[in-house]
Amino acid sequence: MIEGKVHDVRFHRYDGPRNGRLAALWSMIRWSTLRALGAKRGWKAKVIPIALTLVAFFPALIVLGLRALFASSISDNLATVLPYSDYAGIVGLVILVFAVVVTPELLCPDRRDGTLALYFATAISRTDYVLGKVLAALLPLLLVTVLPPAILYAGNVLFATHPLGYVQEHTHDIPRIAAAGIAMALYFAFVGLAISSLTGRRAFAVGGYLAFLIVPTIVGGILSNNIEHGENLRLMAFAAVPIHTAEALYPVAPDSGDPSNTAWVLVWLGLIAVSALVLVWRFRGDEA
Amino acid sequence: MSDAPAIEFAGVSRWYGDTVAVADVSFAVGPGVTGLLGHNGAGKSTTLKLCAGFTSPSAGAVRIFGVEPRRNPAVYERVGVVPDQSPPWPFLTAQEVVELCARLHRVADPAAAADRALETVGLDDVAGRKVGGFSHGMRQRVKLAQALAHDPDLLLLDEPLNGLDPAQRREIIAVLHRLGDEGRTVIVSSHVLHEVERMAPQVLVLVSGHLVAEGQTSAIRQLISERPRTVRVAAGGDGRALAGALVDGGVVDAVRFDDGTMEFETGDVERFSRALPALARTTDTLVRRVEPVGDDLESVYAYLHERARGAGR
Amino acid sequence: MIVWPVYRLTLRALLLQRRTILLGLLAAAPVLMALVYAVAAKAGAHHFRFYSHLVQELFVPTIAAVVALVIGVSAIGDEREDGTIYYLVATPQSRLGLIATKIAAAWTATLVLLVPSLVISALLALEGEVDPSSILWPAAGVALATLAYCGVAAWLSLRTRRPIVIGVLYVLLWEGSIATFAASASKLSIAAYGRALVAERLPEAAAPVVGPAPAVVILAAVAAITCWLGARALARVEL
Repeated sequence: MIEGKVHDVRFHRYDGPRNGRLAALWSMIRWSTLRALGAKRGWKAKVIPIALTLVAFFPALIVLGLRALFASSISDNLATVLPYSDYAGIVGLVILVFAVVVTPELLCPDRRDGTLALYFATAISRTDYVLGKVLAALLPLLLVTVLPPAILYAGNVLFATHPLGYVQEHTHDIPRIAAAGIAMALYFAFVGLAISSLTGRRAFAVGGYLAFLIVPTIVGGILSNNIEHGENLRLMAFAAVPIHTAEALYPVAPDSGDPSNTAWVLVWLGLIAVSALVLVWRFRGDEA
Repeated sequence: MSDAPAIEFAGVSRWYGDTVAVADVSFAVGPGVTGLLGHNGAGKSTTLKLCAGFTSPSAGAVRIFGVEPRRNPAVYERVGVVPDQSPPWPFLTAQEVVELCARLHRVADPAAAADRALETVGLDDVAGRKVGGFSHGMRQRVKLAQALAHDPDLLLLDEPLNGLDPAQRREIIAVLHRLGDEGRTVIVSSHVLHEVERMAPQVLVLVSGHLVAEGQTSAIRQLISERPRTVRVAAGGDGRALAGALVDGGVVDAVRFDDGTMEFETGDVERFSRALPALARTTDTLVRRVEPVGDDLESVYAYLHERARGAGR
Repeated sequence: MIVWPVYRLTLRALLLQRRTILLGLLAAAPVLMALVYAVAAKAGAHHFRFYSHLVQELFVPTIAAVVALVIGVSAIGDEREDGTIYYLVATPQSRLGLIATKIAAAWTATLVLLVPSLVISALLALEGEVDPSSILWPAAGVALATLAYCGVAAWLSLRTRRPIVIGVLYVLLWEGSIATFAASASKLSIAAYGRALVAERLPEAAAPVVGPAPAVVILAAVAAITCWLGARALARVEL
C-alpha cells in the first residue's frame, strides 16, 4: 500500500455537557410511555390505545353532550345521572383492556431485544429502571383513569347554573377523582409490570395478564356461591379489585359488605405489594 | 429436466410500504454457480426469498423451472434452500433435521440421504448431537446439509459462508464448485466480494434493489471499461519523464508518485496501453512492471454502486 | 392429508416448551376449583349445578379457549418467528396438508392438557354421581370448540404479527363480555357453539344458540374454513 493512516477509533471520553442521571431516567420514562402508546410504531400499534382512550371518555362526553344540547331544566337532572363514583365501574373493562395492551410493551421488548443490558450500562441503575418503568406505566393509565372523570367534573362546572356554587358543593370530589384514578392506575401498573417481567414475549405477557385478571374472577364467582362461607372468595375477582377500591373512596356508595370495602382495599394493597416484590426479584442485582 | 431456466425473474418488484427492496428486476439463471452480489440492504435476501417462494412479488413474476413456486409446491422437490439466519429446530439432532427435510422432499431413503449430506458438509461425527448446542458454523453446515440431502437441481443459498472459518469456507466453496460442475444451478448471495469471486464465475449485481449488472465477472468488467482505471507502473529511474510525456499526450488524467512506482489514472486503457511502450522508448525509461489497480470485482462493484447511486431509495 | 413427520415435530416442539407447563397450570385451575368444592361444599349445594357452572362458565369459554389459542398460535407463529418455517415451506408438501397438520398437532397438544383436567374436575365435583354422558358431552363440546380455536389461531398467526393479542381479546372481550350481553353477538362466538354441545347434558341459564347438530357442523366448518384460509395465506404472505 502507498501510505497508511491509522484512525483513532478507540473509546473516547465524552467531553460535552452531561445532563445527569435524572435526565437519563426522564428520557427513558418519556420514551417508554410514548412507545407504549404507539409512538414511532406502525398505525396498528397506535389504533388500539387511541381507540380505548376515546372509549374511556365516551360516558363523560355523552353526558356533557346531552347537557349542551338540551335545556337547562333537564340538564340539572343530567348532572346527577353519572356520579363520579360510578365512572370506574362503567369504563372498568376499557381501562382493563387498555392496561393489558399497553403495560407489557414497557418491559417485554427490553428483555427480548437485549436492551436491558444496554440500559444498565448507562447511568440508569436497576432501581432507577424499575421505578422509571412504574412511572412510565402510570402515566398512560392516568390518562384513562383520572382524565375522563376530571373532564366530566370540568364540564359539570361549566354547565352548572352557579359554577362557583357547584365547585363549593363538590370540592371533596376533586381529591376523590384523583385518588380513585391513581388507585386504579397503581394496581394495573404494578400487576401488569410484574407479569410482564416474567417473559420476554409481549404476546404471552398480554395473555398472561388477562388470564390473571379474568380466570380467578370466574373461579371465585362460581365457588363463592357453592361452598361454605364462600363469600370471601369473591375477593378473587382480580379484575374487579381496582373498581371496588376506587368506589370505596366515595362514601356515597353504600358498603355492600360481604366482602367489605376494607377487604377489597386489602386485596388491592396485597396484590400491589406482591407485584412489587416480583419486580424486585426479577431485577435483583446478579442477572439482567 | 424441462427447458425452462432454473430461475426466471420477469419484471419483478417487491416493495414494503414505502421501501422498495427489489425494483423491476428481470433475469434468467441457468446451470452453474451464480453469485448474488450487493451491499447489505441491496435486496439480496428479498431476491432469494422471492426465488424460494417465501414472499410474493408486488409486481412481475418469479418462476422456478417454469412455474411459480408459491402456487406449485411440487417444484420444491428439485429445490434446496439455505435461508439466512434461521437455525434449524434446536431440539433435533443434526441427523434428525436432515432426515426430516429429506423425508419432506420425498426422498426414498431419508436416513441414507442424511448420512451422505452430513458427510459432505463434514458433520458426520456430530450427527447425533442436538443442533441447539452447535456453534454458528456447525449450524450453517446443518442448513447446507438439509438443502443437499434430496439432491436438488436448484440450490438457493443466502450468505452460506457466514460464521465459517477459512478452512470450512474452502470446503464449502469446493462443494459448491462441484455442484455447479455437475450442471446444477446454484445461487449464492454474499456481500463479501472476494468470496463471491471465488465461488461464482458469474454474478448478478444488485444496487438499491436494481439489477445493475449480470453475467461473467470478466465480461462485466469489459462492459464497463469506459470507467476510469488506475494502472500502476514501476519504472527505472524516477520515471518523471515518462509521466510527463503521458500527461502531455493527454493519455492519462492524473499521476501519483509513490516510492518508485507511479499510479496513472486513465479514461481509456486501450490508448494507454498503446502509448506506454512508445513513450517509454522516447523518454528512455525502463519500464519494469505494469499492472492494473483495482481491477477485481470489488472495484467493479464500487464503480457500479457509484454509478447507480440515486437509483431506487 | 396429515404430514406425519411435521405432526410429530410440532407436537414435540409444543410439549417441550416452558409455556406449555404454564398452560398446564391454567388447565389445572378447574381441577383446583373442583377440589375446593369437594372439600368445602355448602350444605345442600347441588353438585351437578356446580359442575355445570364449572364447565359452562369457566372451562369452555375461558380455559379451553385460551389454551387452544395459545397452543394454536405457537404451532405456526413460533416457527415463523424462529424462521424454521422456511424448512417446511421449501418442500413439495401441499400447503393445505401443512396447515392441517399444524392444526392437528396443536389440537392434540390442547386435548392432552384439557381432557385430563375435565375428567378429574368431573370426578371431584360430582362425587361419584358421574355418568359417562356428563363427561362425554362436555368433552365433545371442548374438543370441537378447541378444534375451531386452533384453526382460527393457525390462520391468525399467518395473517397478523400479533395473533395472541387479537385472539385473546376476541375470546375474553367479544365472547366473554359482549356476546354474553347481546344474543346476536353470540352467533359469532366459538365458545357459544361449544357450550351448545355441552348444554345437551349440562343446561345453563341462557338457552343455547343452536342445537347440537348445527353446533357440530358450524364448529367443524370453522376449522375447515380457517384451515383453507391458512393454506391460502401460507402461499401469499411474507414468511
